Amino acid sequence: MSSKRVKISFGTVNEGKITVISKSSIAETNNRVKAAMKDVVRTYEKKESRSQQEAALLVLNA
Amino acid sequence: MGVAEIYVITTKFSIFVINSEIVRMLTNIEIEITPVEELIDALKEKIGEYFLQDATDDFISPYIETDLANLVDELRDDLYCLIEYPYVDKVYRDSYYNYYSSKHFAYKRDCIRVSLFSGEISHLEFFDLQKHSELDAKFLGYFVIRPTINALFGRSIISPKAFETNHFQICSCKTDCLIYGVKLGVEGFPHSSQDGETIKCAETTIWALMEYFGNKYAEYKPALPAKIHAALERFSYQRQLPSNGLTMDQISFALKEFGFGTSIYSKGAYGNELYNIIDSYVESGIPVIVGLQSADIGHVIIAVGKKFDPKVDWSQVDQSKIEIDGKEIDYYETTNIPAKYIVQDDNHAPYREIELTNPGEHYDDPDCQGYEIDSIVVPLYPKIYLESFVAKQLVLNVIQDSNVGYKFQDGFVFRFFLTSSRSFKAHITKQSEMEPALKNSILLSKMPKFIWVGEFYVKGSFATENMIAESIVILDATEANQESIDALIFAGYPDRCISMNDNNFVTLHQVFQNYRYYSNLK
Repeated sequence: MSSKRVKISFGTVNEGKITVISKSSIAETNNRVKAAMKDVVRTYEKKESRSQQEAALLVLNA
Repeated sequence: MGVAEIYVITTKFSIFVINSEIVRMLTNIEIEITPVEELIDALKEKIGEYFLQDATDDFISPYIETDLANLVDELRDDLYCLIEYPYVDKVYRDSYYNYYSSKHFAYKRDCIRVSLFSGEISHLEFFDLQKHSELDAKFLGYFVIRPTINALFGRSIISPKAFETNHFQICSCKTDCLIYGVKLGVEGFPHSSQDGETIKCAETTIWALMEYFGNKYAEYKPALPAKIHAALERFSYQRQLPSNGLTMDQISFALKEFGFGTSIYSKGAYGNELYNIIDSYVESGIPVIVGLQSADIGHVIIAVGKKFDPKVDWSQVDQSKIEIDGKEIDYYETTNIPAKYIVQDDNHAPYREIELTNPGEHYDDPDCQGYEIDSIVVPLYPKIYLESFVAKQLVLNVIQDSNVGYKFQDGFVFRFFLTSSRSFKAHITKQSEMEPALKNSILLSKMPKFIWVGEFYVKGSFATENMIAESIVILDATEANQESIDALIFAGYPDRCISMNDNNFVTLHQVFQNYRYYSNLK
């Protein structure tokens, strides 16, 4: 009797239809993103700490 | 107007003599069914009879009628109401046992509950099993009247469908209520007015939020006022009752104690970007606690939804700029599209519409009219490590990249939200026109509990019915490394898709198409 099992995975669904992006390309992307995000993260950290200080000053009793 | 269709089912008092004083105790429940047009008269009678026992109608302050009208006037005209007394309300009872019962003045411990139905109902329908599903369909929620005369409205959960104005979408939770022995369900966002003594706006906001999350997710539990005060005890340097209100960071602290990973954003730090942050969280289906400040007063409300304008006037929408492939192009962020937001304000009826730039628009008091948004607290799942401000920039950096991005044309529309991967995958399965291979690629991608999703639209296709996105980018919201593309899970573009396979980023030779707008609001 033939098996009725069916295997579905990312690999079987996309077999032969994928191309691995080279490690060097990803490294290049990561370097670019890292440089761009550095300022964003630094700005966020400053804003996060300022937000907390300001939230402590707002008294809610209306 | 025809004859009043009011049914009073039963009432019975027992008289007890304790220490020579006559104590009248209600031993049965009284039910009254009335059309909404007679609700205020019926409630005035009940308030007079139960809460102001020795007063006649003449003694009932006109403020009570005004107070009742603030809510009742907002309701649809065709509603029928079922009034019951005595009703044991868990929130008021908690305040009663922890505060009101300790006062010299005698407060009642029972409340009145008013249930709302779309269309006429009869008490006989409650006894007929065949009619129960019909009653359930008609049931639109309830509100509670407290015996605290200066702050009558207690907790409520009312479907937006009960209101005259209801063309908006909100974060909603479902809850079951036992009305006249029948279990009926309603979807809405919890609301309560403050009583001014045990709960002010800050505590009411925490209560409403916990009620919402507690009803919706197993991870959270509703919190009664005493539990809220207990959570804040080690953050308090003076007595907690009567309440003097809280600060915005105390709200954040309490929510953290109740299991959230909160984020605070202030106007001083973020400027007008704060409005965009509020929008993206509301679009994500996350209620946002919004702190307001005028010259002399601080107040807090919850942004729970949004009113969508079906037609977008793009000339009114600020454009943003992005550099793609060495060329600077303009694009639109949906957070910049002018919109009204739906808020729960404990000084007003539920679901008020406001503009974020004018949150005091419903107030008569000039001080309150001057409210401006000062800061917000966002109650997030504690393992969401990638927050909105950074995540949005990361998505924009992904699309700019030559390896994992796409050359978008000038004038594209960008929408950004947080969602659970479960809900998102459920949405994918409902995309009837999407290619099975593309569906599989998304459904079989391993995703964390929460993801950030950027949707990209061609301007012409945005704001049409059931609009189709051109592209999406999905980020891992639990990724704390914010300076790399480690958070990228999937990107779908008109020419290809990007995904992960065996720890490698791969290009899928399939185009992204037939994906429709996703919403966490109802």
